[in-house]
Amino acid sequence: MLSQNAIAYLIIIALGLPLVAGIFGLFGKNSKAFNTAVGIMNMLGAALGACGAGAFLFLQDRGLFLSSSAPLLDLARFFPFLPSHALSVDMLSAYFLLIVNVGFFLVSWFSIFYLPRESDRYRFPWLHIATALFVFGMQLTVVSGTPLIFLFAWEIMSFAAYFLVIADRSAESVKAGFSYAIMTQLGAACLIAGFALVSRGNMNALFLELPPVAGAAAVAGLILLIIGFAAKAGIFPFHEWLPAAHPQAPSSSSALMSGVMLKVALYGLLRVFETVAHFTLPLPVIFGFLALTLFTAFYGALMAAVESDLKRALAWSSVENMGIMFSMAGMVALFFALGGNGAAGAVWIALLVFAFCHMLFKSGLFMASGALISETHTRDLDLMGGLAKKWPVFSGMFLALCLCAAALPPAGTFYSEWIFMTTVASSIGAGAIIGLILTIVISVFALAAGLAAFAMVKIFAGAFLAKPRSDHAAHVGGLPLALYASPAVAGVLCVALGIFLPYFLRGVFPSAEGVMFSGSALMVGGTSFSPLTVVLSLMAAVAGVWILRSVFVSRRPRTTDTWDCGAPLTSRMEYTATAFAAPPRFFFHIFTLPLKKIISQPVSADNRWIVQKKLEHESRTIAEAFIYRPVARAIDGIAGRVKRLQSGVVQFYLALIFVALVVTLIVAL
Amino acid sequence: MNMLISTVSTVLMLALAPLFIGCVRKFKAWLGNRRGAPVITPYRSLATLLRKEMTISEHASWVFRAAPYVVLSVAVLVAIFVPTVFASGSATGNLFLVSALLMVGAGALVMGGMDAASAFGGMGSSREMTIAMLTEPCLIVVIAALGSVTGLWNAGGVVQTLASAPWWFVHPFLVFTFAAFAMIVLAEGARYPVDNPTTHLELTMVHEAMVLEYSGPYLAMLEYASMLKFAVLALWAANLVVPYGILGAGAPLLSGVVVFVAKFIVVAFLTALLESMVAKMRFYRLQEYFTTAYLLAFFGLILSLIF
Amino acid sequence: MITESPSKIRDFNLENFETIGGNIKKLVDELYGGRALRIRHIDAGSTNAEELELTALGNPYYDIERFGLSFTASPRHADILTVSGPVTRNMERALKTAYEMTPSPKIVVAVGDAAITGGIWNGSYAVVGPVEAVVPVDAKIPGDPPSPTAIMKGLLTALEASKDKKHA
Repeated sequence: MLSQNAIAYLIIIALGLPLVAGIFGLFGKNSKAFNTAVGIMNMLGAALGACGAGAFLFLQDRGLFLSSSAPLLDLARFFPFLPSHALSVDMLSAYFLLIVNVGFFLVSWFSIFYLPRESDRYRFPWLHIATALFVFGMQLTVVSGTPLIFLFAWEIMSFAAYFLVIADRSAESVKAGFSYAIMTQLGAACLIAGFALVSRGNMNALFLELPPVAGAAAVAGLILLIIGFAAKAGIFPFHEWLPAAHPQAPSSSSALMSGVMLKVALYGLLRVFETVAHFTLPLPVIFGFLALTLFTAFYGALMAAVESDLKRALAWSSVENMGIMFSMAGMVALFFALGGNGAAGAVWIALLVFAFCHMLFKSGLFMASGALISETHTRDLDLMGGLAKKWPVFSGMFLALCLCAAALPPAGTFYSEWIFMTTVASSIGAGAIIGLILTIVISVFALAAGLAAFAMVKIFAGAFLAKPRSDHAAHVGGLPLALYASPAVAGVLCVALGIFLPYFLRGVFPSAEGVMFSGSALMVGGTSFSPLTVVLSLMAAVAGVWILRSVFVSRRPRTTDTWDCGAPLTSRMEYTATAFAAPPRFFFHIFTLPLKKIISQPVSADNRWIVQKKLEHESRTIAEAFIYRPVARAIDGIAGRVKRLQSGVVQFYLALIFVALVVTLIVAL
Repeated sequence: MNMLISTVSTVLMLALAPLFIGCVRKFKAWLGNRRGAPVITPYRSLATLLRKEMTISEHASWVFRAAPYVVLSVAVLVAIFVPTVFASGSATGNLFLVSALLMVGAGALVMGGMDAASAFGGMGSSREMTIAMLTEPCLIVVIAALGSVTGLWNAGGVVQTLASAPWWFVHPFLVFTFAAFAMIVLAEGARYPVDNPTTHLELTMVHEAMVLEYSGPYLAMLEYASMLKFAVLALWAANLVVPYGILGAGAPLLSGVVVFVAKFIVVAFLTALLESMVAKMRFYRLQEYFTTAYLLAFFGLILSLIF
Repeated sequence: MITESPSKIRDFNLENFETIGGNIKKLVDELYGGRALRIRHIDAGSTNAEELELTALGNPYYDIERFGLSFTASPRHADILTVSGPVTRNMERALKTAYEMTPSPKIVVAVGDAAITGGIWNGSYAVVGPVEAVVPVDAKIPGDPPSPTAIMKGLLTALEASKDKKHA
């Protein structure tokens, strides 16, 4: 249908149009009209990009993995100053380009209606140009064909995201932005070093032409690359910045950062796995990687479960999801190392489906919580409540998004996890040691999934159910449909992806027919079931129950007050999100490190039993307590000692220069 | 033919679940030197509830009203997907799907419990969600063990494959897996030692606390869903341990019926015996319970790799 | 088994027990003849003597469960509300809300002399009055406190009064 040239033009327009829109938005001050115009331009660019990437994916048959014969779309031929194939699109790029553009479409649609509500907190020109550069950087990263352009685009993306984090210029945002900047530059340093090592210094070489990993230098480079991408994606122990930075950005930008930028980090990792390592990583590297990512998944889910700030909880949930996705990537590598190519292919598909679903539900959740917070004026789940009664449609949509985030049927995330778990569980019988490792993998995965479901139920219950727990929540106004139409579409897409997953896979991976899907059923290793049947039977069961109830029961319910055992109930007496999360906080106290201090002071001189009690409750994080602070102290100590070099004595400096000269002469000659 | 068999199996299970609970209560009464209610009392109780009016809290939203439908639908789907009366092969559901559906049902009930704005509901919800979350890794490892041993991932197929050879000779390590699964069934069915289904003290309730604000037909739906879930899972566990003589698996009709009735009575009696012997555990010690269940399941799976 | 068989309890002498309200027959019929009902007890300010007797109903000797009657924790689950004690001013609201929340059809039974007449506290400043001053009462079981057998007989009379030909 669409020729290669047409697809190339679409993608190039999608690259450029957001930049144009951003520059246009620079002149608008906080005007609503400019905001709408910028948003529409962004939506147009994103739609064109999604069409181009989608056409590339669906209209051409590619194998499961990149092979040397897979057709590439060369975009660099339109830019004479670039070498050939410096910008190119292949299956992996197209898939992630589709993810980026669909995400950007949804977010720019949302920000048309959301930003005017927050016009007193943000300066729109700042946001528009930062978002434009951010999206430009992401798209360029995905289509880059050489490490140099990749790094250039990566840095643009990271810098632009910094300005989004500090957009409201509050002290907390600046602090979070600082933490983000440090971590992201640390990661970028690792990436530069890593690419330099694996490409043997030739960073202009195409990804396809990089030499295979051999020798200690190349393995070190590979490890540095993995660390760089892990730092961007929020893998333990580089995760602390994520729950600090993502909530501080405006909600539309949080949606972009959490929903899309993290996928670009995943893309980088997969690109490295595919082209640099050719999926043959050394086993110790794989095991270390798996251990870290699985722990991230568990830890992120746990912290999401005990966190009572809505956006921070969603950010921790992103940490968990990235842990899951990275561990799926590690499992692909492990299966290749063990020779199970079929299993590797199945997990690869599960990973890509999870990435798409994650973009949809995470950006949907952040957008919806942005809408929510703009009405309740608080981010604290302990102060919300009662919103399901006031906003039934919105709460239904939020519930659907939470269902997708919790990986429960009929959402697409569940099917991706199902493919993964069935593949891993089927391969357990392959051997004793491997079986042990796979059992541990699947157990940690299941625990993380359980904690994620807990976190999502807690978020929904704290925000929407029961009586409003504060005045703000009690007096919210209406929520216009235009505001939450975009997250609603995201939720619907995520559920639809789950129901029609075999058809989607047939479009993207037609060669997997008969292996991964057949007809309307998903298949893994001999077992199959049809997502369509599942959702139809669920609907049929609900309909059946409803019909039976209508037939047998005809009385209307009577409304009374809540049973209060005789004493009037206030909203202070109901469970809050913090209370709801008390059992996991207790059961996993080694990780959540709760600190409860009860300070009691006697107030009466005569009677020491009359005391005034104060309760202080804080949670620390293990990374901060056991990794960051000791490292910071060590660096401080070393820096203090190095400071003594600056003694101010001229003779010392002259002696230093002399020694350096002598050493250089010795080494050179 | 298969469709007919699974329909009959499901309808039978739907009909017999309250009888199962009635038998458990009767045995418990006998073990406690009492007469106890007649075994068909749960049917009368549900019928009475359907006749009653519903009183709903004014703070409850649509989530409160939707929860019983979701919980009952999930329980019915689990009854369809996990065959207990007949060992039908084709229409049976994937075990991972069943575990996810159980989580969906638990989540729906949890949200219904939170919605009525009572402290008891919140407490029950928090506890129930924790139990559901801790059950997840144990159940997944049990399913992995069963799948690894039998090569199949659906409920009916697993039972049929286990019937082909006596598992206590060929796969003796499955005793650990079955013990872990028994502990999981007790947790999912809200029985001792995880939860007390007959308590009046709200601080000791988990499942009961969430249904305190429901009345009339909604309460009937929730109670029936709980009975159905426990009956299906307990009888399926019995089918795993003694996979012989199940109707439809080549056994003649009379012996199949006798075996089913025997399993029904024995499982009800064992549940009542357990409830009469142990006390309910303190909630904040449940990590020991679930760690034990997980380690049992883990050993079952690891030993299957060695032998 | 130390409990007697149900038929022995049903074969009794009904002179001392009162039932009031003609609608109790309709209520019981609606509840399938009262074969599986849940009782929620409300202590509206009693001396706990009635509660001790009610607790004894659950033990193996008296075993009220063999009649299908069981105790429940929430008024929303209840079919029968047993109330004991004179209704004190502090418990008036609790009793009213519990009555309101119980779904109909419901049967209110006043257990003990204090609940029926206000007992020795009738007219006190702390007491509103007998239970029927606060909520409508369908059956009364006199005694201070009534023994568990008396309570059981009273409840069963209330439930079976519609069928018993001796008390038309």
